[in-house]
Amino acid sequence: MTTPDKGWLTLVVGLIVCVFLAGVALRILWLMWHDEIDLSALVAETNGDASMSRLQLLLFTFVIAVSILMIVANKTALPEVPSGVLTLLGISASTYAVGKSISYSQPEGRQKPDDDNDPTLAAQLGAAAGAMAGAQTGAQAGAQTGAVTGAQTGAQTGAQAGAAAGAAAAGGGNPG
Amino acid sequence: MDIVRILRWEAIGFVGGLGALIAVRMLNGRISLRNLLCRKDGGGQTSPERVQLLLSTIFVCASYLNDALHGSGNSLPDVSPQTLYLFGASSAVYGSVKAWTNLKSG
Repeated sequence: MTTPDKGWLTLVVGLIVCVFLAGVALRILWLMWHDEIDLSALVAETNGDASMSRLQLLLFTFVIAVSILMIVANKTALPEVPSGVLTLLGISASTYAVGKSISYSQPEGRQKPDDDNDPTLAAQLGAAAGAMAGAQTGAQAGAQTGAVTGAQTGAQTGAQAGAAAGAAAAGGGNPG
Repeated sequence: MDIVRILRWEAIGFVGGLGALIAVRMLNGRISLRNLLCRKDGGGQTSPERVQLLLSTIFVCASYLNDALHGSGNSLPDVSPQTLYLFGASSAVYGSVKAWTNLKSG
């Protein structure tokens, strides 16, 4: 009795895995290249400034990854990670954590760069506030002639006025 | 057809492509490195502790890559205690100055 040859099955499964992983890798790189995965704030803090500890962690991650790849290219088993490398990564990660906790202990560290000067946000806030105020006024005025029509008209008018006021306020707050 | 060899080249291509993409974006300014070496107190002055941390990081990375390139190829190279002390001290200086500056301004 002969044992069935499973070599072809191994080859097919291996090829499927290869094609799948290549597709995922290419898709990720493609999305990054076309800015659908945004890398602009890869090493930035919340306030928009570049972070030294993030850059450091990125560099170490790449260095260790490249080193492991070079070793795996010569033999098929994963290498053992020495304690010195773990200590190095631990120091880097601790620096990142300490820096982050110091930054976040101050309000400036948590503030986003355009929180105060975002015209879209100001217009949206103005529109929302205007819509609420307009709806209330319209509902009161239209209570005698038709509450629904009055509320709709008031909301539309209020939203337009609020959006214009919000945009004007944002323009005044952001001269640059 | 060697599946292991294909996977190996895929991994090398992905890590290489990712590294190249990030390096190009940093060089042409699309990954923001604004104020990387400046104090965060609003003065815009260059910060010595940041410069020394960047230098020590580059030194440790280059030294480790050199060890990995010229090593036996069977295991990851270890990091010498002297390098760890140097890097730990550099990180401690950076963290201490940052904490002190924060304390003073806060």
